[in-house]
Amino acid sequence: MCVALPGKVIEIYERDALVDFSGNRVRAICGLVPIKVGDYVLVHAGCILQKLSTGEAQDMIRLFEEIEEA
Amino acid sequence: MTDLKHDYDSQIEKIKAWLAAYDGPDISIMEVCGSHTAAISKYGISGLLSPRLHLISGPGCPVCVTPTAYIDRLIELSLEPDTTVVTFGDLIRVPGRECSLADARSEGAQIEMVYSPMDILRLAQEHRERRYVFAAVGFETTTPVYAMLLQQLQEQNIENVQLLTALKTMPAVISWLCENGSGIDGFLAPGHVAAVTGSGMFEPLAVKYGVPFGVAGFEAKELLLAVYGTFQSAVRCRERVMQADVRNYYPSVVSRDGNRLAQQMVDRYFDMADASWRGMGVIPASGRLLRPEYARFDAGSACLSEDHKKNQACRCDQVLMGRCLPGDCPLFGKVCTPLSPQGACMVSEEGSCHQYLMYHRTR
Repeated sequence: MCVALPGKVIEIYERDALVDFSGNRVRAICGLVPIKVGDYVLVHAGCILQKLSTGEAQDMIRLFEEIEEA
Repeated sequence: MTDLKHDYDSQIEKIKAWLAAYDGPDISIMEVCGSHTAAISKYGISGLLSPRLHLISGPGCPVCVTPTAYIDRLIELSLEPDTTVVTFGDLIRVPGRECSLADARSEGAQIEMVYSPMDILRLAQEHRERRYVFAAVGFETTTPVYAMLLQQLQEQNIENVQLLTALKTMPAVISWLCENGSGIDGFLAPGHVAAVTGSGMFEPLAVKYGVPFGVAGFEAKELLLAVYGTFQSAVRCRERVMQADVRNYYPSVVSRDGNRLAQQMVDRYFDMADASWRGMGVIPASGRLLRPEYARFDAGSACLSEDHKKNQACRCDQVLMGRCLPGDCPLFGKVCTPLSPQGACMVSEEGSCHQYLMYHRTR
C-alpha cells in the first residue's frame, strides 16, 4: 500500500507533472517538493513525495563500509 | 564502473555468508512495513538467514490494521442512495462484521476503485449531485496525499467529497510493541514513511527502548544491506558494545528531517488522535483525524474503534503483533486463503498471511 516508485520528471504543468516509469508515463500531483525536468522523484498514490538524490551506488558502498567498521 | 560493480558483488556475497553462518543468540528483527514483508518474500531474503536470525512482520499494512467498525461504516455509506465510496483496491475484500465492500457491491452498493485519491476530483466534478467518500487509510506516507487532495478540493470549490479516515502513525504503535513484550531486538524502519517524516522520528524510540532501527529501501540489494546492518546492530546492542541508534540505509530517498513541506501540509489539515488497531485496541496518539475546522470534509471517522473477528480462530491480531507466524494459525492455508480470507492479513497483498502463503514461507 505504501509502495512508491522512482520515475523521471518529463514535463511540469500547473498542478501536476508527467513522470516516466521505464516508458510508462503517468501524471502525478506536485507541490510537496520542488522539482525540475529531469529530476528523479518518488511517486506514491499519484503524488510526488520526494526527490531522489544521486550517487546511490556510491552511497551503498559507503554504507557497507560503515557497517564493517562499526 | 566495472570495479565498482565488482566491489558491490563481493560485498553482497560477504553479507549473505554472514547471515547464513550466524551462530550467536537468537535475534528477532521486525519489519514494520507491509511493503517490506512483500519484498522480503519476493527476493527470498528470509531463506538466506541462519536459523538463529528471525524476521517477523509487524503492524505496517494499513489495510490489515483497520478495525471492522471502519469497514462497516464504509459499507453503510456505500448503501446510501446518493453516495459513492471510492477506495484503493486493497480494501475491498477486507471482512467487516457481516460482509466486505465487495459483498456490498454485489448487492448494489456504489463503490469505485482508484489508483490515486486525486481520481476522486474528476468523479466529483462530473457528478456534482452525488457525494463521494474516499476511504482514506494509510500511514505517514499516504497522509500527505490526502492533504494535497483537501487543498485541491478547497481551491477548486468542490463540495461533494468527504474522507472517511483511518490514518495511522508509526511511533506510538512501535512504543506499544516495545512495551508489550514482543521480544523484538530491532526494527527495519519503513523507508517511505521515513521519506516523509525523516529518519529522526525513530531516534527517541531507539534511545528509550534500547533497540536499533535500520531505515530500509525496497530494492533487493538495498533491502539486503539494511537487513544485514540491522541484524549487526542488534547483535552489538545485545553484546553491549554499541548504543542503539537509527541508521539510514536508504539515503537516496530518506534524510534525517524528511519532507518538511509534506509534514506542514499534514499538520495543516490533520490533528494527532487516538486510533484503533485491529487486535491491539485503541492506542493513544497513534493516528490522525481531520482538524475541527475541516469537519465538513469528514464522513464520520471518529470513534470507529470496534473490532470483531469474522472467525474466532483467526490469529491475525497475534500475527500483527509479531507473537506468532502466519503458519501457527489453525486457519492458515486451509479455511483462510486469498480466495476466502478470514482475516485482514490474508486479504491485502502486503498482508503477512497472504505473503507467507503465496511464497510458501515457513519463517
